[in-house]
Amino acid sequence: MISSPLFRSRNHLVFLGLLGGLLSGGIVFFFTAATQATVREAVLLLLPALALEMFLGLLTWYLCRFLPLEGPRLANTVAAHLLAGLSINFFWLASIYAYSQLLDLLFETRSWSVLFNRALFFLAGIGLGLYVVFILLHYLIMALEKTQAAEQEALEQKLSASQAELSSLKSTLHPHFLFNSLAMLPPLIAAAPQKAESLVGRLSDFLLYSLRYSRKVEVPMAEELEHVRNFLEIEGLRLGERLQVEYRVDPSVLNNSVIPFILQPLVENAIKHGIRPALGGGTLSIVITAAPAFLQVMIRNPYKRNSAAGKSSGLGLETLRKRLAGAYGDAGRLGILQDQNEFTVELQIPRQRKVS
Amino acid sequence: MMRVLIVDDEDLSRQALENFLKEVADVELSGVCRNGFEALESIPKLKPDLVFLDIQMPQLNGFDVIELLGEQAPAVIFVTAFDEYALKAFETAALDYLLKPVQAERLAKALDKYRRQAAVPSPISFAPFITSHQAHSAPLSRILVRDGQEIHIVPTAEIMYVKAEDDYVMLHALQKSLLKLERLIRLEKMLDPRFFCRIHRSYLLNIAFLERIEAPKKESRVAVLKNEEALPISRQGFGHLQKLLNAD
Repeated sequence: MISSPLFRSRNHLVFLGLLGGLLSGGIVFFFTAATQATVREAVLLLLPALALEMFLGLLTWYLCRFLPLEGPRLANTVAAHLLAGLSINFFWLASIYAYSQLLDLLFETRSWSVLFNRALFFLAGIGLGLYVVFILLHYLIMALEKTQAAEQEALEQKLSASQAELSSLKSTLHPHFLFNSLAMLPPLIAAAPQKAESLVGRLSDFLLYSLRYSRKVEVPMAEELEHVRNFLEIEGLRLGERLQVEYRVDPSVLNNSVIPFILQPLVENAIKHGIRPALGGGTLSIVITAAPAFLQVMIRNPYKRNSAAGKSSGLGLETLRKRLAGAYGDAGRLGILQDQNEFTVELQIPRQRKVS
Repeated sequence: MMRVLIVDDEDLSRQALENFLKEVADVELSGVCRNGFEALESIPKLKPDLVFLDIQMPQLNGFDVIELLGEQAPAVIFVTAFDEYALKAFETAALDYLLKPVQAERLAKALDKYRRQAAVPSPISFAPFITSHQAHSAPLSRILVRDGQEIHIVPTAEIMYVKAEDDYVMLHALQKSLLKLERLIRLEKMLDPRFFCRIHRSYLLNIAFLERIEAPKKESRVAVLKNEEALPISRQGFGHLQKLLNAD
């Protein structure tokens, strides 16, 4: 009984007290009107009866919890409540009858069992009515709790998406990548000044994108792709012939808006875990195709499960997955295919109007 | 004359070092290697006085090269890109290193230090360095074995069991069996304890390959592997095995 949610908070208790008081007052009033009993007599008979009803009513919480008020089993629920209501009511009436017998023994001021008989239908009605009130209260509370839980969940998802957003922002500035790219400059300046110049250009574009778009919600795919191209050009200077890149991009996707930094972590992983650990390097392929409702990105790289000395934490993909869920809900998907020699990431995002 | 070898997988880094070293009067470049495998081949052959060894390389990194060279390891100046893990390994072992981009003054300093040390010859021990490196990478995902000219990279997931053979261990993997200079007790510490179980004083079993346990006689149990090979289980080993199997 204590587990009834009606007891769960102070507000519930106050509400319950007020409702109980009002109902009890009303019932006593109508009882006196219906049976011509005095108020004292009514209180003496009804107060213990109502206390018992309250106890029984709170017990219905267990019933309500197991009998859902929706779905295909609604008929079962109604039947079960009917049965339970009638049995509880019968038990209640029987208890009051026994109590009236007791009163007959204790107080011979009037015949209590006659009073009970006269009020039988009234009491039966009250009992059933109270039963209905209790189960309605319980269902109401269950519904409220359900929406609260749903709201909480939505809120938590939002929070986790924005945390993912934040951590991806932090990584977009890439202090490691910057540092190691700058390290290439001195030898390049000596050996190939033109390449050095191109490196500085690519690097500044790369940074500019990170600065400009770190606070934007959406960017055109063309710009995200350009960002990835900058990244790969810089990596290409470092890896030399070990990195081959193959682009196959449906031109119609270029206008499509996407969340920024959606491709970069994938390409970065491909380099880190696929190309760099392979002695001879390999080909990184980026394929973007369009369907009416969504567009699909496939990033593929050679991969040998045991060649990598370091262990992948998978954190980058997890972050991206959270960001996708935050931005596109179920419409954004990230899948991983891995076989003996290849690693493929498939990304699916909804087609959207072009960004102005 | 100081004979120097450069090991680095990036063209640009090799180029940069070469350019700097060309300017140093008492340095003669005896060779360049593009990865760890080439280094393992060239170092014993060329016997350079000093090696500039890059850490971040595919398949065999600088740490692995040192580990595999063992006693043959020459004097080394490590060269590394920014990498927290590598920097930490150097600092714990109090080893000198050059951070990329290599700068002329730093390089000159490192060479000076080497010259001073070479004047008072003392064997360099990489042992604490290798130990700290291995401790960082435990549990191992692969084991490196040098077999003459050949380097085997054995994924630990493919190792069925390891048998102690005096100062060596015999790794029984799916495709091959390899002998490695290592103590079983040390190896046990570096392998994933969720899979590798010391079932006997001389046997370390990967429970992924355990088929069943038989007890032909009381007090003498054997572990039968998926390939029907049978290994002895000591009484204490049975305790370890039970604990591990019940942990799932």
